[in-house]
Amino acid sequence: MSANSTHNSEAAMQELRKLLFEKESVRLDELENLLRDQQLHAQEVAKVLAEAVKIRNLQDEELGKSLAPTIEKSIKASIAKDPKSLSDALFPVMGPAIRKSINNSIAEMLQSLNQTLENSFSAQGLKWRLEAFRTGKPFAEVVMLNTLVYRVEQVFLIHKETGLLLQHLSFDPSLDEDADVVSSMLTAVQDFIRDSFSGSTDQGIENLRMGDLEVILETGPDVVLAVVCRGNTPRAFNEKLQTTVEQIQQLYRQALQAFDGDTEPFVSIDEHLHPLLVSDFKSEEKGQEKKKSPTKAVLVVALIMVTMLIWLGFEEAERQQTQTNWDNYISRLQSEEGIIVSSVQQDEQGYTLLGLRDPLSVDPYSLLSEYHIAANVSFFMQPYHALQEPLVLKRIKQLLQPPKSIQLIMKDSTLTIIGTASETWLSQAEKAALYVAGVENVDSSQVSVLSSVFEDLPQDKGIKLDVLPSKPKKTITRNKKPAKKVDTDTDILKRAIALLNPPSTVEMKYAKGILYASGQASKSWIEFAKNNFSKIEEIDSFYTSKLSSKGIK
Amino acid sequence: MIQKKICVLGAAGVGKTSLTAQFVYSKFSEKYLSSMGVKIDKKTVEVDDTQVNLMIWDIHGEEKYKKIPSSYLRGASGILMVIDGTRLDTVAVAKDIHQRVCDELGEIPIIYLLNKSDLGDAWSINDNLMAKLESANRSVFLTSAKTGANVEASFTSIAKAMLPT
Repeated sequence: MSANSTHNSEAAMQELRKLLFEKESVRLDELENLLRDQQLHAQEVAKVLAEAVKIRNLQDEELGKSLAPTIEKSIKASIAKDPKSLSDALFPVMGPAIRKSINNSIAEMLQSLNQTLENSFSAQGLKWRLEAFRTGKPFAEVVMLNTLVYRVEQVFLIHKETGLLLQHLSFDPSLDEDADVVSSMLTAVQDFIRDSFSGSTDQGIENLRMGDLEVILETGPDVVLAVVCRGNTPRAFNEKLQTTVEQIQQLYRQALQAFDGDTEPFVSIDEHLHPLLVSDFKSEEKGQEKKKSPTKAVLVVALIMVTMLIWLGFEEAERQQTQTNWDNYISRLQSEEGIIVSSVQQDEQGYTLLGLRDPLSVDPYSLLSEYHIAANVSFFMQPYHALQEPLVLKRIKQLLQPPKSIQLIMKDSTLTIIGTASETWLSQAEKAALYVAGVENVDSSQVSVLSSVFEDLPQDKGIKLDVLPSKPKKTITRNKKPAKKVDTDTDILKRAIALLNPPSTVEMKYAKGILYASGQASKSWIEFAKNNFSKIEEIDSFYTSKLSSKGIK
Repeated sequence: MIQKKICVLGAAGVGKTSLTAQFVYSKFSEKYLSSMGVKIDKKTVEVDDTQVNLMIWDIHGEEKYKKIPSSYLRGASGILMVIDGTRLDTVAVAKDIHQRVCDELGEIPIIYLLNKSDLGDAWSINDNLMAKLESANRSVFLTSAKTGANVEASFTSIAKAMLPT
């Protein structure tokens, strides 16, 4: 029963629902289908998609962010599928961009290469290195101090249409005060130049220059970026300005177009402008100076080289002259009779000569000055008797002490005696001469014999009297009165000393017509004595072989 | 800080430069005016607690063969039109310039300054003309660069007119 009534009431409710909500139920079903049917859903979304994207983009940037990964994936997929279509699409953009980028890179590279070369190899570079070495500063610092050339002093960001200043940066805060007036005036100046000379409103002024001060103007659609620089800015800097303008233009486009004099929205633009406030360093020297420096250096080097060459030339000439003098000296010695040079040694101390020397030959010392030889020369000469005839004759004369009336000739190993002599002297001479090396014959046929006053010759050194005969051959009367033994030997010696006045270093003796002198005396005295001894009648000959002039002037 | 560009316009010799000089801080000398045709000065005025930096472009007087360059007018937010109160012909010149400004810049605030108000004897603007000018819905000031009368008031007035209400 109760189950039946429950069933009845359920059916009644069903009926009631049907009566009350049939229309709504059908609609609900339709809606349910609509939601479940993907096709229908897509059609509905397509209707509003573009509008929705537009609205959302105006609200915030979330849509772009959320789409970014999808777009990246799509591009990747597109390239993987067919790279050509995308590269075709990008070609008009990529070509100029790549060209521009390559041009800039090359220009920058050349500039920096030039700079490096100039700084490394120029005289200026060397000077800076020297300065760095001298002052103990790092080379880079010296270069910096010397090359600070361009500095960005002020940056103006100007609203193009009104000429009003949006932002201003400068090294010197005192410049800030007038920046807005300068900004307007700069705009007026641009307008003035454009109106006066160009006529076209499309072309902007890019550059104003006065001395080393330069205003670079980079113009975008809504802004003008004016940069005041001192010195030469590099190409790369202009590139930087361009990029900055592009960034600002992109980020603030709406605000710039809606600008009504309120600079508040542009406060954050600072971060884009600050990187422009830079200093950079000299990339170029003044051409003339560069050219001069190497010339100077070359001149200096050339001067040094010429001086060295001249000096070396003098040295060489002097050396050659010295060598020639020495060679001449040696050949003179070689040609000199009685001297044989067997070897010449040279070391740091000077020269050493080895060889043989006849004591009667020329003194090699005395020849040194004749040949202007200043070097130290040592002689190790062994004595010997040379057989050249002049020396043999000299030796004979020294031995025989011939009277003035006798002339001696030496030829072909034969000694010819000519003149007048005492028999004693002649016989002694004939014998003695044969004992001299180099004499083989004695020809005394042309001698007139005078009677000798003295029977004997002194028994002394020098002449070996024991081998001589003591007996005179004949006695001849002299023209003068015969000598008488009036004076003793001592008297004669006294007279001789009185006449010749020998120096104290000379000892004199007299015996049997021969005056002996020994010791040391000057050449002039010896000469004087030789010329005058015969004034004393009793003296026949003067024996001087014991006399030496060495060490006395 | 709000900045506004205003131009001071009018016929030659109406006293534009003298009016401006009365009022402003001057950085550039007057020779710019004769060489470039413009001299820019600035003045900061306060309107309803708002600082307004007026960049005042004092442009050379309009003459027959020396028109005001359009580039100088571009971007201006307000105009001070100067008339010499002793010369009636300057009123006509002002009208011409006014028309040009409207053509090039659209509807912007323009204030009329009847200058040389100190020269009472030579004054040639009669009440009739005065009423006409005022009825054209423009602010009109009687100014004197010599005495400084109304100079500051007129500049403040243009600043106020330019600000959004």
